[in-house]
Amino acid sequence: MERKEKQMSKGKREILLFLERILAIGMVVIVAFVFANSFLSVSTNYKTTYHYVISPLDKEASFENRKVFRDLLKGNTEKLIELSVLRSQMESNGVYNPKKEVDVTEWLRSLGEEGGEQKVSATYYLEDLIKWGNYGFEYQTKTGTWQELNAMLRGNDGISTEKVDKLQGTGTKYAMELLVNRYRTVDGKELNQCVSTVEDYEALKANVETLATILFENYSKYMELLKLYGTGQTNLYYCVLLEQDGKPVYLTNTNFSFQGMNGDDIGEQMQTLGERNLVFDPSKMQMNTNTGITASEMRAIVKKYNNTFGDNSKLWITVDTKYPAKDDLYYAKERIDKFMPYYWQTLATAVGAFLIWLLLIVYLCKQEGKVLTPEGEVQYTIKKFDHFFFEIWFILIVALEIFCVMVALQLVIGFVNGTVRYPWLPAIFGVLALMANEGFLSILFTSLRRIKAKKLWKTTFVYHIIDVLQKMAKDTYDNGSVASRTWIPYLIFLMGNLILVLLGVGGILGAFLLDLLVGAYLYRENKARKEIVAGIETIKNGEVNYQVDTKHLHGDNLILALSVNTIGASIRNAVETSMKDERMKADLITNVSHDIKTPLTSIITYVDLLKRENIQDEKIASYIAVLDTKSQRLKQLTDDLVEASKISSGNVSIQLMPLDFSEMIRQSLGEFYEKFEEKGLQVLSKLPEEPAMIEADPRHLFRVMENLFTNVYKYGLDATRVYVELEKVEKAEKSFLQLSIKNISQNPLDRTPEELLERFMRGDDSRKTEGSGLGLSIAKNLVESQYGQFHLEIDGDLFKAYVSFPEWKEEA
Amino acid sequence: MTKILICDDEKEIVDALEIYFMNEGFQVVKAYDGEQAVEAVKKEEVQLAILDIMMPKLDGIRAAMKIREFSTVPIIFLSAKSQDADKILGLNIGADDYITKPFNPLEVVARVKSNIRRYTKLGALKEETESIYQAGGLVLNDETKEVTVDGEGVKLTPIEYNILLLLVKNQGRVFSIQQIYESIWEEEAIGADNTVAVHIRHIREKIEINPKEPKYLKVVWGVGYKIEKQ
Repeated sequence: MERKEKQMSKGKREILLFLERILAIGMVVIVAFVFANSFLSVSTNYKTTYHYVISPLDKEASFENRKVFRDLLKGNTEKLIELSVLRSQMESNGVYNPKKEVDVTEWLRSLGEEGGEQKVSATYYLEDLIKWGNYGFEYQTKTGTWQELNAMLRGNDGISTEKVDKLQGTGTKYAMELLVNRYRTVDGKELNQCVSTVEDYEALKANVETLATILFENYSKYMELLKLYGTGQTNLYYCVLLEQDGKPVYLTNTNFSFQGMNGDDIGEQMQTLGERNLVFDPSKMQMNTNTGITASEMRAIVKKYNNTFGDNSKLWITVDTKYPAKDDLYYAKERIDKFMPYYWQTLATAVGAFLIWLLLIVYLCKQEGKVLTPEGEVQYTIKKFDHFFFEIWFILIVALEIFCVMVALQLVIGFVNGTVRYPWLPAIFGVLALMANEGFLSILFTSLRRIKAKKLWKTTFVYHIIDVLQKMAKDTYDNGSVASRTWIPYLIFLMGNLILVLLGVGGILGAFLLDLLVGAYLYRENKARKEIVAGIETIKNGEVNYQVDTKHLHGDNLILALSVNTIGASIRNAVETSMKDERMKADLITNVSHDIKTPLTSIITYVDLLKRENIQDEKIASYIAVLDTKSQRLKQLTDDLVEASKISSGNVSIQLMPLDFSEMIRQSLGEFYEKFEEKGLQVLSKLPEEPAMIEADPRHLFRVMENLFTNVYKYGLDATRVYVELEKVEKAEKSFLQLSIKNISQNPLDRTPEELLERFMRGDDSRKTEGSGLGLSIAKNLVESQYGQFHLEIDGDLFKAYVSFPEWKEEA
Repeated sequence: MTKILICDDEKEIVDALEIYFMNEGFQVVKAYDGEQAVEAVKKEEVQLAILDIMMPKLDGIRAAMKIREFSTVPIIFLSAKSQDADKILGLNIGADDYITKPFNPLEVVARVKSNIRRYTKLGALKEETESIYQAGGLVLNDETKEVTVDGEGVKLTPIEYNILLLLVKNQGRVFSIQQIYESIWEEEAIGADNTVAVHIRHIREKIEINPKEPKYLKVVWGVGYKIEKQ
């Protein structure tokens, strides 16, 4: 079965392209979807976000063994420690105590804040300080003399002048910023009453402000965390042992009371609440857990709070792995549990889509640009649009693809950072996929069409530039004047050399290379010219079928070679036409001669019959003699005419065989012996004794000899000598055997040898004798058709005929 | 009386030939086209047929082929076609001789006679003794030194006889001038020139009907001479 090429219909192509787009978009959307789903962002209770890539390979691992669990637990533990520290500040006996008495300077010291080193202090209720911190501080400016200001402070016992300078003011009047006493101390005093010097007042004022601010902040945090880790709000249970005012305090969100229990018992109690437990004892640097958190991680967390969370502290944490409360752990577990149940199937779909897409692309690529001609032949064409410069198109498409990839990357980063919402990712990826795919298809198809139609190179910008330059160069070369054609390239060459040499060593090497190239070019041109000259010589020597190979020729040489070929072809045509004409002429002559021969036969026969009658009348007898001669001559003429036309039209078969030329001459002379004797012609022959071998057709060669000797017999002067010689001569480095026949003509020879050889051309007087005048012409043609040479010479009355053949050697 | 058929579409040629043959004592049956010729051979007891080739109704070649279907009578073609190819074709289809127009009437008569003699005496001369050498119709009696061609005596000089004897004895073999000279004159052939060639020509003129187209003594140009093996 012959497989027929088919052209894809436009509709089919559109459908396949549509399918291809759907697949490309689908593929990318699926991958984006899988990526987005594999990417787990967990927002914690404490406003941090963790990112994880979930792999289906570890899907079997339980939530509690995952890093996300550990990270969340670690973060929560830190918060719990913070909470316990705050609780120790805000609470007494496990409950918030607003009436807690706070010694400002001492608290600052215990918190490690600035101001803790001061000697002065005041004690407020915790609640008052928190509120003060919340409302902020107001001031009033008190001006007065030194004494007046001092009087406000408790127990003024004089202030050194240097300390007075710290106050702002001039002369005897001083100004001082006083804190408005929103709250009084535990024992009902105002702040200024707690100090005795202006200096101390300033210090205490700063301490109160600092602590109030801190406490307010801590209170907010405390309330927040307390709520976060309150019962029912979290799946974490904690118990923190802290030392407060020298006695152990247990802070917990369980319903247990741990007061008075030892550590192991507390641990056991805690374990009843959940499966995952953690016990940390900073004093022993000891960690006991099944959560996967390491001791060093724990120490790093605790280190920040070592003011409160000291050596006598201890920490128990338990995770209720049933996750009854909807906290961050719960949500994380939910996400992981719900993770991509059809992950592999989805990926397989994407791979399948990719394979089909690939097949479609391959098929479309194969069909692209293919056009069937009405005859069913396959052709490759390009579209109008494909003429657009390839590189520019390519760069545009590459830019588009890079743009798409950049946007995709930005999207991924945005998604990771949470600025891009989940559903947008696959959607925008789909749009990007469509754009990138369009770009890809257009560059792919245009490239294919151009390559298939073999026009890729020709539609490039570079090609157009080169083409224009080439045309300019060619124009100069082909159409420019000889001067511009010679001098412009030569000047460029000189300039090139000069510039290159000025560039230094590398340039000199370059110049050397340039010179070599130019040399090679000149050599090639000359070689081509030589080939053309050789071609002309060949054609001149008669080989009119010769054609100069024009494949590698350019410029003038090409024109020259084409002209030579055209001339050769013209000559060949002319020769062929003339051969055809000759053959037609020969046929005509042959046919006419047949028709002449029949009546001629009757004439000859009846003349012969007349001759036999006994005719007494001499007049009649002489008439009959004339008839006899002329009819015989007519016969000879007819035969010669047929033969001459046949030979000159090449219509005669030649069978060459080796023979002895001198034997041939002897045999021929034998044939003419009586005839020569009859006219008193004395033959002086000089023939070699050894065989003179040549290659010739014996019958045709005898015809030549016969014609030559007949010529001698007919036109030779009676009773003269005829010289017949055969000798070896060298012509053009080849050995020839040359026969020469010399005799004296009976009539003056006023014709050139050429004229003698022309048909029907003879010496004027000889027209009266018998013969057709074709003898020499026939002889010459016959010799030449046997690859011999024939020529005549006339020297006064001396007639010379030369016939030569190449010497034949057996091994040749 | 010998009866022959002459067939040519040119009545004048037939008539002229008839005159020659009547003079020689032949009885002539005339025909002017191929069909008539075939009929004549069938009806008349002709001993030889001369046929023109280019004739109306049935050309000479076809007529000869028809005649060959029922008769072995010698056929001589008489034609204006003088090409080698024409002659070979004529002889190949069973003709015994081929004469081109315009012809010499006497040659025609000689050839007819020769062919009839050969036809009638075919196989008659079988008594080949040691001293009798034969090549076709050419017979040399070395005892009597007599030479006959188709029964007719020919007079040769002793040298001519010796040359002919040498060639007839070695039928088919080609002798160069030098070889002939050395075996006849029994001396080295220095400056033999054309003596042998001249003798050969004389012999041909005596034994051949047309010396230019020899039947027995053939010239192998550039090599020598031979008697064709019959």
